[in-house]
Amino acid sequence: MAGCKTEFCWGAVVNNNSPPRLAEALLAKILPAHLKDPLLGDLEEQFREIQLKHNKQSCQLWYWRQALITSFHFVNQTQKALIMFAFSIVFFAGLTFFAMELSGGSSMFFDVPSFIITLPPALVFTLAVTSPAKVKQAFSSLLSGHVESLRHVQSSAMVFDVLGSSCLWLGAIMTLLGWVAMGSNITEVKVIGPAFAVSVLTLMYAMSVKLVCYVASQRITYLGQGLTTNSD
Amino acid sequence: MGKSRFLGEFEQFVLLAILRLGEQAYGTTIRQILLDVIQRDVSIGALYTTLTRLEEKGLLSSAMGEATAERGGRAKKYFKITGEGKRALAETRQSLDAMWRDVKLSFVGVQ
Repeated sequence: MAGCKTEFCWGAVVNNNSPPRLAEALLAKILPAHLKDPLLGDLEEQFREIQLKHNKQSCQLWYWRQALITSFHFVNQTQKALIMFAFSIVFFAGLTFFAMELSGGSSMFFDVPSFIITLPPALVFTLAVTSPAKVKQAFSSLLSGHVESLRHVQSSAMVFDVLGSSCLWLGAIMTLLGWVAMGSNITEVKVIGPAFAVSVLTLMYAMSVKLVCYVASQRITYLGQGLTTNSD
Repeated sequence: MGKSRFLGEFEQFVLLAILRLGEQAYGTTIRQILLDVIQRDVSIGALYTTLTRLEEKGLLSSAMGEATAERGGRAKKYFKITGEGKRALAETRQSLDAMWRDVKLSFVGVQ
């Protein structure tokens, strides 16, 4: 049978299903533009042929196998920017975690309320200053490594600048707020330590987000190098 | 002949499959002929990686064809071997034949 390994092909119930949409979407995202139509078309043609002899499960398995192997072949060509950005974030997170462990355990560095009072409000500020479409476009450019015009570069870089700066200012304000609250309620000196640590965590989260946003903004600016105002 | 003109094993199979298929050489038919003739079930990704590389080397040319319903309305990409491709194939065969000349099968463990 065409393109179907025997270990994946059992049963013989004729079915008429579509290829798995998720696998198709994965390929559409990863394949170079000039190969999307011919390659997805070839896969669908063979998928329909296989359906004449094999059951739904084996056909779906066959398609997924082809999609994953094909993605592996092309991911380095088309998603290099995403891989490098993800690698840098994982590297940064790994180093930070290592430093936390060396400082006496990572658990003391996690505080959900401190995170909630920085990133979500900063995201709301960013949406208010730019627009949901621009925010979506900025993240899409960052992940795909593709920018269309100079205007696109400027608006996407602005999204990350606003997000990072808002987060940093919010972190600073919330930290000061924590200090004011501490100063107003000091009854015992020994409670100052834990309260101070939690208040400073807010600033640490804010600075981390600012750092990631700075890298993202610089990445977008770099991608736009060589574009002229004519490309708008 | 330059070193770069030698073709890899899979490249030769793909070029020969395209030659055998003539006007009907596109992804599905190339995969099918490789499976039927040499029992090699290659993934579509591996095949297109090789086809793209051969096209970049100037050994193949391609043209988009018709879109059909059984392909989800997507067009076929037909491949054709170029003069350069035919030359590379012939030179690789000559080189292999030259190396095989005067080699007795017993030298490579076949009685």
